Amino acid sequence: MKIPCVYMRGGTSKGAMFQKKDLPEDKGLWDDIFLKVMGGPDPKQIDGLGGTVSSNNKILIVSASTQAGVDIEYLVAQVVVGEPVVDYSANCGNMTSAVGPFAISQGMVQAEEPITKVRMLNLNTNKVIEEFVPTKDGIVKENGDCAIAGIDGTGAELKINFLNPAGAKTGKLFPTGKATDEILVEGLGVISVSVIDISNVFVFVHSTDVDIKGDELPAKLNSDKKFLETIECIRGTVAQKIGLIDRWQDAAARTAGSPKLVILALPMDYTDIAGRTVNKEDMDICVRVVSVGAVHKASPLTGATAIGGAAFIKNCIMENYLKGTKLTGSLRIGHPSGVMKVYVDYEDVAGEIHFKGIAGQRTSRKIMEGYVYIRD
Amino acid sequence: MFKEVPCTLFRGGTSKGLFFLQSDLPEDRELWPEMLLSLMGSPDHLQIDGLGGAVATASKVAIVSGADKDSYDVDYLFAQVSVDKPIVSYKGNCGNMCSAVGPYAIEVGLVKTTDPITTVRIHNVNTDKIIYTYVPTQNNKVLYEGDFEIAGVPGSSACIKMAFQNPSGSVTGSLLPTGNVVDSINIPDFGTIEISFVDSSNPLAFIRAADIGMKGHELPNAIDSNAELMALLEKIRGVAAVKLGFITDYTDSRTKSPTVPKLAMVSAPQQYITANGREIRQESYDILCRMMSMQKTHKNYALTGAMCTVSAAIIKGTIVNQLARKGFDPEKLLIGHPGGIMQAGVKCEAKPDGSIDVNWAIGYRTARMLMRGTAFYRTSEK
Repeated sequence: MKIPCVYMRGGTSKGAMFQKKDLPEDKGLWDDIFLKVMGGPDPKQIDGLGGTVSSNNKILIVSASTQAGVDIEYLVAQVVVGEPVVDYSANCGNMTSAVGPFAISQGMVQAEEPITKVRMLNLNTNKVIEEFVPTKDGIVKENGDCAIAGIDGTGAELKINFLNPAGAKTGKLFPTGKATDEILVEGLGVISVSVIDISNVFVFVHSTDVDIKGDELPAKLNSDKKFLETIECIRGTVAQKIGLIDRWQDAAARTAGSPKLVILALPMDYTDIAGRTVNKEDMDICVRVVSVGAVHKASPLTGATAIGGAAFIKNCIMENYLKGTKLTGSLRIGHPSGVMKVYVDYEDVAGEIHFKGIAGQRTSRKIMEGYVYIRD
Repeated sequence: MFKEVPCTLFRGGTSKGLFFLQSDLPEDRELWPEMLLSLMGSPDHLQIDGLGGAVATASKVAIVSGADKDSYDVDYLFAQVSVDKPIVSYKGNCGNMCSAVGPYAIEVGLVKTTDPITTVRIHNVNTDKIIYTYVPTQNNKVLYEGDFEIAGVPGSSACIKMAFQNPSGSVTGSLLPTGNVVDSINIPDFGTIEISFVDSSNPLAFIRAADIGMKGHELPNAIDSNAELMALLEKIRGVAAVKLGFITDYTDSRTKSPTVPKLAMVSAPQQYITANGREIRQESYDILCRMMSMQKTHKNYALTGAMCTVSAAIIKGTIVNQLARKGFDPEKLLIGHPGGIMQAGVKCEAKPDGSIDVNWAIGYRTARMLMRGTAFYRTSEK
């Protein structure tokens, strides 16, 4: 059996893109097809397209939308390596960036020069996301000067705009009710933090309060037991304060993925994971993001949106780092793998900030187009 | 900028890779490495910006062209694209990828089909060797479905028979490089051990598993985690490498001759359990083998090693010949290995002096077309 398929990279993931109309109407057949496409559940995936890790086992199913204000709908299927399992529980920010270019090149969305805006509904999370895709002569532009961490070379900049991202987890931009809190952390004393819910709950802390310079690489920080314990204490204290758990000691067991932590430092020169020099002139803020018990090798897209938003919040502890920096709707974030730019679209409503959308940068490219063949 | 090229992704045996018609590639071969690296997404340990599967066995390329020759139908150049280094190597053939060359040649119309088996005669450009492959076809199309299983690939597929011409003396120049069917060799701090040296498709040194205190059915994990045994095995391999003239000091084997010879520990058939827990009955195969490859126990058995093992099995007096089940089929010797049973065979002829020559080594693989279409790659060309 053969199915039309486009194999694409989106950000730092890659996977197989399908038009929904090319798949069987009976969704009960999909899991089996997706496993066969990737060569699962064989952990070596030698009989399929899969490359044995989760980031290259993504399947996207794209269709035109009949909903008002939405161009296309897409569903992300994650083939679980080594198991006969296909998971639909989460969106993938990386592969989201490939959806717009796919939809345009498949003729599902009319291209507009120089940038085509694609409004897409992610069916895993039921969230609408906008993507801005550079196009020329009706064709998606892949060449450009945008570099993203984890990908050699540059490509055309795709902007992934998460609409109304505030309060995604708790329903409130400030889960504690304030932009900055003084909290008592066991073994550390009283420290200033900002607890912000944009895409998820993020706790912003000063690098000096957790006793790091701010340019350390993940490998070093993740092997520092004392550092990780301190981080976990702060995370747990905040999780308890905002009611996610009853006892701060339970944070790792009960709420590992939220809140996440952002450690702030002033721009500085440092060496990134790949050994390249990152210049302080190229960033507005230097961060290390802690996600699920470890320092992230770059910054998750959700983290970047939160950091971008926080930069425009009055009385957030980030203000100390941005004095004298003129921000016009975007922020350059220095992280362990390079610099990521986020675009923040906000308005002031009676003294309160309202985020209409926060966009991250990705690049994407078509790797192969044709038919994928699976066993009957 | 980006360019496009017609491309087919195939699994061949336990490898997968990209197949191209040479006429679709730039005429200037200097441009190939950059192109193939970009197509695979190399160098990057995840190969996220290309088609590579982040391991060497999923980062291979076959470049095929029709050949207007009496003795073969297609030319096939194999290229190994490094996953994490900017290197494309044309050294050696890959038997696994070679098994997909026939199906590919038929799919792209280079070879006319003759149901039910289409013979595709391949010239491997890397080694300048001829390989005949026998591809099942039906209604003039490649038949991929079948009931043949190979270790390392889930499920079953149609069996592709591959015959490699003149495998004798691949590295050393002769089938029996020492001139003997068995040599008694002194291993420092161990004593004397009998070794059979046979060079067919690849040079192998065969020893009896029992001679070094092994039962013969040990699994790779057990062997690899036994440091004392591993040291002895590498020492034997080192002494064998000296005997074959590859190195002068046996302690240099790891660094100066890591790939040849391969070492096989051989036993008569016995009941055993495979690495994934399957029971293999004593009467279901002909010879029990374990093979060392690159200082590790092979999880299954190398195709070239299997073809060498059959060659050894048909030569009267070798250790393999002594231990193999009597009356085995030389075209289908059944080798019991840690992952299951592999078939391999030979076709040979007796020479006037009574010795034999192996004309063909026969292996069996399966292949499947995974994706076909157009691939896109970055190029610095304008």
